[in-house]
Amino acid sequence: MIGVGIIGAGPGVAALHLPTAARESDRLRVVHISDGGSGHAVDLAARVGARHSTGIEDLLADPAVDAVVIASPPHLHAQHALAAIAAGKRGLLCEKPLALDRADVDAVIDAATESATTLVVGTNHLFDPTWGRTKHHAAAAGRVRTISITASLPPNGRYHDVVSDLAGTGAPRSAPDLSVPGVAAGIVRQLALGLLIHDLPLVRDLTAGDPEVLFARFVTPIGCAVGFRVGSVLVQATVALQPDGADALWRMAVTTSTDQFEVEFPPSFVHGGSAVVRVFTEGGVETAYPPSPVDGYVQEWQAFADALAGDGDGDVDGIRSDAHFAIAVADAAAELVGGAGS
Amino acid sequence: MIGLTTTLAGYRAAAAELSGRVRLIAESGDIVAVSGDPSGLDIARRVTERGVRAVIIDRPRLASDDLGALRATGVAVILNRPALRADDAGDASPSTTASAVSVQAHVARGALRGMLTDAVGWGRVLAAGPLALRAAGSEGGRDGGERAVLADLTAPGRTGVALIASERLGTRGEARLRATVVAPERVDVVWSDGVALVTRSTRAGTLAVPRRWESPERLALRRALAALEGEAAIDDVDDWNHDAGIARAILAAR
Repeated sequence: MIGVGIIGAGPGVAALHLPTAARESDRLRVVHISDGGSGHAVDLAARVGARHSTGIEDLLADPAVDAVVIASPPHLHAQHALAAIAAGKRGLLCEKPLALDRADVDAVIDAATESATTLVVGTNHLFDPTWGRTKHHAAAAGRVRTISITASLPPNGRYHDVVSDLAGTGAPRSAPDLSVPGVAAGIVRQLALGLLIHDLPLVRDLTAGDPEVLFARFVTPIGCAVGFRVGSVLVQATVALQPDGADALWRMAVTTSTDQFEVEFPPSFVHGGSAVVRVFTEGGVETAYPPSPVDGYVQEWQAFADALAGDGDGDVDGIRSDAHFAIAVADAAAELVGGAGS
Repeated sequence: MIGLTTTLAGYRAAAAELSGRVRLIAESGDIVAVSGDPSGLDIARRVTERGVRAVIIDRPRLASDDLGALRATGVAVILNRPALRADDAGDASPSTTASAVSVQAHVARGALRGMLTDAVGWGRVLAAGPLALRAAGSEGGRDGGERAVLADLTAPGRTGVALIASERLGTRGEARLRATVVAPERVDVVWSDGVALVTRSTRAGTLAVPRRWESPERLALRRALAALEGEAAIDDVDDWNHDAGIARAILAAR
């Protein structure tokens, strides 16, 4: 049994990681949870019979912690990953993004490689079993021409409520003051690394080259639209939060020189099976493939457990390239938004 | 009784489906329905000198200037755009200002220009206003190969429309278009096989708007009748000029 420590005690841990870890309880056991000073770790740890602490020192010094899940705020991911590697932990499951700049990405990857530490990044759409099926179809369907991502997301709390009984998750956000210089650009960068990050590794799966961002916009109330080119593939991504909106929409449409694919991902946090893919062929045939009962979150935890057991083939080069790619999109999008004053 | 002059089978059927108001006549009808290619426009120009009051242009594939010149003669000009029907546009009209709109299309090789015009039109309808082109890029299209385009459009009130479209390698097969309004009430339009399916989603659930079973030709003929009877102001040419102009600018991008 592998002992897991979780750095972070926010809604994502309560609603996502603890329930998902429970599905792998024959191989992994959560033994320690730490918070950053909120005090939330006490309650979460009590629920799973784990120890709790504030800060990362006690957790990393805990000999029962073999591997670490990093679910702290994104700006702390790299710092916490480096600390966990330095503490000699066997493996890391780091929430996306791995880091917010290229230097930090490289530092974490290099440290993990040097120390032979297992590294998994929680890019759940990439782990979704349906994505593998879609890639298989796309490979047989000619050249990829366009990728279109559209996401309309209600507040996370709506889904936290069906997978957790913790109160107070998903507090409403206040509207940003876009008249302040840099605010819109900062939000677009944050959204690129917080929301688009779900799908940017998938875009990279289907393309080759560096992204050239053609346009970027802030979208009200909170969202962004980004258009870019990767090699000869054109990509648009429009994502927005809708405080009182419909059930989550998260769709990726891929066109090739013969076919079209539409992948619809389930809402975040829930365990309702994998994404669904529909294929539209040149001859007018539409094929809908049934979802797998396994979703991307479960699959990423299984990959983590497999890697810790020595069964995984950690693709650190892929993780590095995915992270660099996302940061390149985020930086260029923020620059365009900031420069245009949008 | 209004006279309709046409050689197009779809409009002859439409006249039969509106036989209480319309009858087919060999020439000099009140309404003339012509093909949307340049030969149809030649016919339309000739008959406007014989008292024709409304011209239906079926599936227009014309330059904007040609339609403007026809309208300048004083006739009502009705465009039949099957991928952007007036009734479907009404069904999909957003109830609130959209946060964003995305439009995506996939068409047979050689069909991009026509579908792109309708894709821009869907962006205009769903963003609830005329659009301005902010940025565009394209791929392919050299030596007759298939093309792909990407564009960023903005409507008054700053609703943005992200438009992406590509051609298939083959020259056969139907087009498929999907347009989505990101808003508290999400609207989704899927146009394929000549039919638009519109859904409207709120927190309470999703409403699938009933399919429009009326043929596009009958709808165009009814709109022409409404224009003649003063029941409706038809601004199809302005809309076409807007959509075709932006499509042309997108296609010019590299």
